[in-house]
Amino acid sequence: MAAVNAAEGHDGQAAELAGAANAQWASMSAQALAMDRPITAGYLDVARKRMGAGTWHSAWRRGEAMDVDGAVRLALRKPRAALPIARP
Amino acid sequence: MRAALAWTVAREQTVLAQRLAGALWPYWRRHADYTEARLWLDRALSLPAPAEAARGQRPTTAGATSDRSARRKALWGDAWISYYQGDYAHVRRLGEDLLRLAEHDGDRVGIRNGLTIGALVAMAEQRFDAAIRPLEESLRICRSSCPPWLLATSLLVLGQASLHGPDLVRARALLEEALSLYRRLGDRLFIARTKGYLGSMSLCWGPTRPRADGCSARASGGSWTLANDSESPRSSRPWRP
Repeated sequence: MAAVNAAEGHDGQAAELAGAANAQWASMSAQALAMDRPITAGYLDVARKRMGAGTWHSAWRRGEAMDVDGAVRLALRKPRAALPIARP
Repeated sequence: MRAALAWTVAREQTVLAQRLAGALWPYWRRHADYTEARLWLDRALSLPAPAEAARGQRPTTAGATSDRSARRKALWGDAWISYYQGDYAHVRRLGEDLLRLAEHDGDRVGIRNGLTIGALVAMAEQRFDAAIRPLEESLRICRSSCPPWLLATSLLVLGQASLHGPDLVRARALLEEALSLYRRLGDRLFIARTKGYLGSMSLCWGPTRPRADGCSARASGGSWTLANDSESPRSSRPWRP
C-alpha cells in the first residue's frame, strides 16, 4: 500500500506506511522479503526524491511510531485529494 | 512446550527435539515468533545425529526413516524462519542439507522443498531467472505428490518469480490458481498474500510502472533501507542470533 500511494502521488502517506511496515518487520526480528523489494523500491525511491530526504524521513518516523491498527487504518484511508498519477 | 524442548536439547534427544521444533515452526511463524523459532530449530538441528544417520547409511528400518524425516521437517522450518530474518547464507546451507537428505531417502516432497528453498535464495538475490526452473520442477513434483496447501504454495512462489519475467499471462494464471486453492482451504493469510502479488502485477507492469521493463532488479537498485536513505537504524538492523 505504500507503493500504491507513491504511485498515486500521495508521497507522505507512502512514507508513513513504509515506515510502519518496516517497524512491524523489525519488531518481529524479521525484515521485508528481499524478493519483494524490486516491486516497491522503485516507487518509494521516486516518492522520496519528490518529497526531499528530510520531509520523507519525518513521515517515515511517524509511520515507525504507529501501532498495527493505526497503520492499517492509514492504509485503508482514502487520500483526500486524488493527485495526478506521478510517473518517475 | 518450552520445557519439553529444553529437556530434549539438554538430554540430546535429537529426534524428539527435531520432531517438536519441526512441528511447532508453523505456529511460531503465524505468531511472528521468529526469534524463538530460530533458537529452538537451530538447537535441535545442531544436536548430534542419531548413529545411523551419522554414518550416512541409507535407512534400513522404519525408525531410521522417521529420524531423518524429523530432521527434514526441522530443516524446512528453519529455512523458512531464517528466510524471513534475511539470513540467506543460512537458508542456502539448510536447503542444500535438505535436498541431499531428501534425495538420499527418495522423499519427493522433501526434494520439492529443497528445490524451493534454493529458488527462494535466488529470488532474494534478485536472480529471478535462476529461480524459474527449480520452481517449475517443484510444481511438477507437487502436482502429483503434495498436499493441497503445498501445491498452492508452489504455484504462489513460481508466480512470484514469474512476475519479474516476460510471461505475465503465465504469472497471473499461476497466482490465480494459487488463490483458488487457498480459498478452498480457507487460508486467509495466504489469500491475502496471493492477492498482494496479483496487485503487484499492476504496480510492476501497469501504467505507473517505474520502468518499461517492470520491477526488474535493475529498476530498484535498492531496498526499503535505500527508500529511507539509510538513516533509520531500525530499517537497517540485521538480525543477530
